[in-house]
Amino acid sequence: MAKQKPQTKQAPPIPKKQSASSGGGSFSYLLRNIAVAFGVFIIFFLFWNMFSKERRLTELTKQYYELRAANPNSPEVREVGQEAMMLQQEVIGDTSFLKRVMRGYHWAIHDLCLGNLENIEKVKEEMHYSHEDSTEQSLLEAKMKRRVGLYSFIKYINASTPKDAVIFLPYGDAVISNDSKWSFIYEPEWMEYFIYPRLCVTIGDEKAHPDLAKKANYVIIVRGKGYEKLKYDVPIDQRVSEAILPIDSPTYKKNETLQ
Amino acid sequence: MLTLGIILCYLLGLSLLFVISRKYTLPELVGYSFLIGMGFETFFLFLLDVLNIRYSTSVLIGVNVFAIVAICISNYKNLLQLKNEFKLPDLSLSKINIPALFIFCVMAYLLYAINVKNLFWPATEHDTIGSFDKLGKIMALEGKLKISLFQYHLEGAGGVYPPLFHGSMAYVYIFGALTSKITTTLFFLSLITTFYSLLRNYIDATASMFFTLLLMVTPELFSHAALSLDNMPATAYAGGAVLATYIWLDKRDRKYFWLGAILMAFTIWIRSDTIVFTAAALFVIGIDFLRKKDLKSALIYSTIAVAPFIIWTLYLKLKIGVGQEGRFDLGIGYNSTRMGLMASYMKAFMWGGEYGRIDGGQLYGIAFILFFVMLFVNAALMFKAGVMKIVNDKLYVLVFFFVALALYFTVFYLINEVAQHSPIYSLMESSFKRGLFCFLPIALFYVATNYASAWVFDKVEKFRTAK
Repeated sequence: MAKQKPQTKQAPPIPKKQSASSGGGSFSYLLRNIAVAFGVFIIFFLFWNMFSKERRLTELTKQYYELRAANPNSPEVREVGQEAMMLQQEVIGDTSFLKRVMRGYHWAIHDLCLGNLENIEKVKEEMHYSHEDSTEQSLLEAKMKRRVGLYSFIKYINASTPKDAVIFLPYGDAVISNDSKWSFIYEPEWMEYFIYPRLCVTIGDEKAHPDLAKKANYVIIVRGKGYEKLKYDVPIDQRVSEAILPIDSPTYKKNETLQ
Repeated sequence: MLTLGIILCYLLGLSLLFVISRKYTLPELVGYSFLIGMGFETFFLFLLDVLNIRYSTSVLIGVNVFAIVAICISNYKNLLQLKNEFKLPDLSLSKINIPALFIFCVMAYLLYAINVKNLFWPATEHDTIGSFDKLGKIMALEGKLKISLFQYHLEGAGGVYPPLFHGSMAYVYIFGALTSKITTTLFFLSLITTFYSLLRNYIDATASMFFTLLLMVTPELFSHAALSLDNMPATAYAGGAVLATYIWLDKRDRKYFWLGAILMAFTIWIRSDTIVFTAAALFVIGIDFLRKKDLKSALIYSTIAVAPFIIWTLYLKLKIGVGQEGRFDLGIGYNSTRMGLMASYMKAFMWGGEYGRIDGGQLYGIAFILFFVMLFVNAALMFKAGVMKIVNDKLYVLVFFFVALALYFTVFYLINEVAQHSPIYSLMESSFKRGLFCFLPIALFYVATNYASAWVFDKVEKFRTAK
């Protein structure tokens, strides 16, 4: 058995007088709280104030584009543009360490978080006026169209092919991969998200996926490329720039939905 | 239906939490319930796949109800005593913490705003379209983990990742969700509530709120609160696991032992590269075993933490038919070019510098800078407070941080660029950068609770409460 310390008789502790969270009463407690809260507020204020020029620049840029859209020749456009240019030089020129390490927080709070609230409201209104928000599904599709430039074309691909189709994707050459309009149309893993249960393989990648290449029965034509995969000839004058064509049968639909 | 699925997930987590302990604060309940609940939901999905049972809403409801009822029945004695122990926070005016409330309001508004963005836009990031969301959606459609796309290698890079993240997406799709973005919201909420509750073990509510806000608005992490990528959820697990484990080692509160072990298990159940935290945990637990000779705890912890890695590796080999070994070049030796390049990136990340396309300050703000500054301040305080006092202060947190960081660096150093289809600079600017998220809660925990900071916050709190 472990040795125990001899117990000494201790006087019972005298309870301290407890007022609102101990010392000084409710009012004092409240004042002290307000003082600390004010300290926190000052920290937030100093941080926010540090980026007043950046916010002004954002406002001016927005104003500039709005004015230019209304009347590109108005003298106000030049005035606002000049002010924005000067401010931009000041903002870029400020490379102090504190500013550099705090800039990200400002971006996260002001641009990413709060700025987006305003944007989303605008998009919501736009969707409402065009009746895109009539059902949850139509709303989702409207959002996808705004986020993925290729979405309408992909919808057209799905509408033009059976669910068991195996589709040749265009080769991701510099022309296609550098044009944001085509997103990642040349990446089979990316395309699969949209076209499932259809399968796909990129032209030029046939050796890596011989099983898929053998089964391929459709080809996506982009910028007039992909006709070499067809087992029939399409006259040059009838060749369209963008389409989805069956490999075996000469019947094909011209892409009508792609803008 | 989606609401039901989320409620079931929370209830599952909650019922497991009450098996561990009866004493929780509200933020702990909110944070851990989801993290543990969703972790087990994805484990159920895994088991159903192994047993060849097709996923469906009814199967998942059945499994959940059975699990929750079984856990509650086995734990009914504890649950009966709950009503006597659970206390609502005191909201009387004379006890109210105005600065903490003020920071809370700022946080709540920012959380609302980022979630409006998150829930409005569907997931369209390249990695989630090409991998995670696709896997989740098709898992829900086909009712299994090994979806048909594996047959044609169209599953995407995330196919070999452990299934917690895309499994969570599959879970919400099975319950009828149109997009999986709700999981991002719930993971982010869990990250900040668990971090706050972990801080509260050491510092007052005002400072805890302040540092939780600082973690929340860390630029790169905050941007992921509106994306559908797995790094932020991995941070919720890894941060929670490391800090809960630390609190167990420090305070010997058994509750944190179980929380630490379970969250550490899910840390490796969400991403493979988080194995560096498992390894760091094993190292720390090993040191603790040598000091305390508590073999039973060390064994239980290690088994729970490592088990998911073994299970997933076996699944990959036996069912999917792939291994992860080929991704590393173990015979690389010392490559000064690669080491120099990686060190330059590391310096930029940690010190707010610039290298390549990386601006460390823009990405992580002052989080890592404060960490190193506080290390320096505490080292300087050794002369005043005593060497041992400073050395022992949050020692295990520092060991966790530096061991995991060194291992993380090593993992990337050994990556085979050819097998990964990506040059090292690109990996440093993408994967490595995002993987550093997991270190943010650990770094900020140290910044908030170290000897010097605790002294300052104690003074402020004494002034606030006039004690």
